[in-house]
Amino acid sequence: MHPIELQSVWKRYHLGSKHDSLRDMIPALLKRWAGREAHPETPKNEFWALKDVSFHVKKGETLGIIGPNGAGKSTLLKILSRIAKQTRGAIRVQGRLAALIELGGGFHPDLSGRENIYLQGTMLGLSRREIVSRFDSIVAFSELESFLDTPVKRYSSGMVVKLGFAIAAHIHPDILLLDEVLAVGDIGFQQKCFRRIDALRSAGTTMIFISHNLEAVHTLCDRVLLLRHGQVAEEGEPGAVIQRFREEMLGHVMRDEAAASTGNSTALAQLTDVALKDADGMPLETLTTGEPLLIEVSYQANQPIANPMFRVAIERFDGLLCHATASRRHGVVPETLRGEGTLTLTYPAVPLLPNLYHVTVELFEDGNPIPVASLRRHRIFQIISDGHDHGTVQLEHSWLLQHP
Amino acid sequence: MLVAHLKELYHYRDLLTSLAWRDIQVRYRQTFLGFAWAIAQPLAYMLIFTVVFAGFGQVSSDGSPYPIFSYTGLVPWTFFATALGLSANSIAANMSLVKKIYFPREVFPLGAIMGCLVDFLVASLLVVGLMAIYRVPPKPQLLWLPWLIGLELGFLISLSLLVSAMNVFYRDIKYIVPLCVQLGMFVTPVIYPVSKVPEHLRAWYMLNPMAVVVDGVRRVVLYGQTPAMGPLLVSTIFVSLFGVAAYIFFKRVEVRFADLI
Repeated sequence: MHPIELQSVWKRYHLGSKHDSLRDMIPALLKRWAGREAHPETPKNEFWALKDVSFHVKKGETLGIIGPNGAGKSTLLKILSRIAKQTRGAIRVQGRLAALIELGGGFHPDLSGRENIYLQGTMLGLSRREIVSRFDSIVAFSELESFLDTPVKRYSSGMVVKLGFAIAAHIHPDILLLDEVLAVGDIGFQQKCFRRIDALRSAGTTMIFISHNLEAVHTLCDRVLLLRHGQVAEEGEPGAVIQRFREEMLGHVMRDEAAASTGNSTALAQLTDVALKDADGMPLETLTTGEPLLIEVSYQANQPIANPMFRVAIERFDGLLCHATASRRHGVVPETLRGEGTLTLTYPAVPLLPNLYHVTVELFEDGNPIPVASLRRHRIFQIISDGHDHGTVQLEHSWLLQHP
Repeated sequence: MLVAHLKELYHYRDLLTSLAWRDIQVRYRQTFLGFAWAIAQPLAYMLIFTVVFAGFGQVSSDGSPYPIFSYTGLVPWTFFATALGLSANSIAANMSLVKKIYFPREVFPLGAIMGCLVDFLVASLLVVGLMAIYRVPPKPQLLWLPWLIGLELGFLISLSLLVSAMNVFYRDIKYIVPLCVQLGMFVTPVIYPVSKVPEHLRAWYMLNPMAVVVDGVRRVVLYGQTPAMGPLLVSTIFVSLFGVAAYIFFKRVEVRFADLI
């Protein structure tokens, strides 16, 4: 007996064949009666968003669900929260379930924050009495005391989300479904949200966390499920499943690389190539944390470029800037850049932890903020690790336990 | 199964009042007259009908002064017409919510009706005023009112469950409903008394539950008579069966609302 059990769940959607008005429906019905169209919903219009999905979540466990876009994550979330119903299969949910999917989704812009707390609260299944008893706590959590009687239409989007999360955080559910909702508000508020979720977890709340943020999934989840094309592709320990998913994404990304990378070159100069190499000068796509990395930039200056500056940036796949450096202060690059050449940037040991990263290179002239040539997201590489640490960078550390 | 649905609806009962309150707030918040608008509509119709039908047309009102005669018919009828019109579109107008949060979807039409019920009660206050003006004493037959209003509510809820669900799939319903409601007023004794309906058609005429309600309200308020018992029982049985069927239908199609793109 687990709080959540799914047995062979299938979900079908019909694409484009819905009659939105009688004008569309009547001819369709006539055709059907005339027998000209034996199967009005041809399989072409069908789309199986979920195919034979089975899993369970144990009490107090946090399950992460990851997968590329269109893998069926949102559909699964909708079915778990009962917004949609499965076409086939069985779902069992035991206990009060709350979905933090759309914070503030039920707000009415003309009503005040106070009125919306009652409206949204009752939509989430709270009784008026429960809201009254938790009202002060909700308001304190939202940090919006002074805006309670302001219509929500005058709230900033950050305020709306704060109020939405504050209400949702007070449902006291047995099961919590989390979407990408945590990337909201200022950093202080995000911390608060994470603390709240941690508190719920410690209190034994069962959770399902669906996200593209693999780091957050790794941190929060006990077990991870990888969805692909509506099916469960992998299931198991977070590190292993996430690693597999990254490798898969890397494969896709490599294929799309040419299309994804953008660059510009002017009549002045071009960046002809950016190559990633290991210490022996061999091209690489995968690197282990702590190993050296060489970035070779090939350029061609069609005209002399005064006060040239190369800028190399390593960004994590989700957009986090990990490191950026400019050549100017190092005296490597001459005062005027002419002809062709190769510039090598060496990292003796890359401390980044497992994830996907890409490299952007730009060439500037004489303090002009617009680069004369650039290659954005041109090279993508993956970092893997032998260790079990995760996060952003590997920090040197040691443990010490003392007891009397 | 129906019991489980009703249990769940009961769990969400506070959402009903929240939605009704939202509707009322939004309806009257930025108006100058506020709740007086609840009275304005039937009152305006009363004045127009009094001039046109009683003044020019010499429509009979079974011996009552025409203003109070028409107003007692207009109050339940306006409630019916407004509530059905609003509830018909209540789910379609909230599709973004339907796709985001789960709760029993019947709260949308029910909440819309509840919001109109408040208007109905406000508008009913003027009936008391008119009774004082035209010296119509209250009679013990007024005790029939809860049954009559209950019948109207039952009919209204059943119809709204049906049309609000259908309107999600076929948006034409939203336009068909007001048309039918307008035509419905002519087969309901709002402007004229039931006594004007030819004798041989009256049995058919009284199959319309709203005819039973409007006629019943006049009988108990104006004339101190009991409602016509035969039609009242027939309508009550019909509305009960219709209500169960409409609810079953609603719960069956409800799961498909969120799948519409």
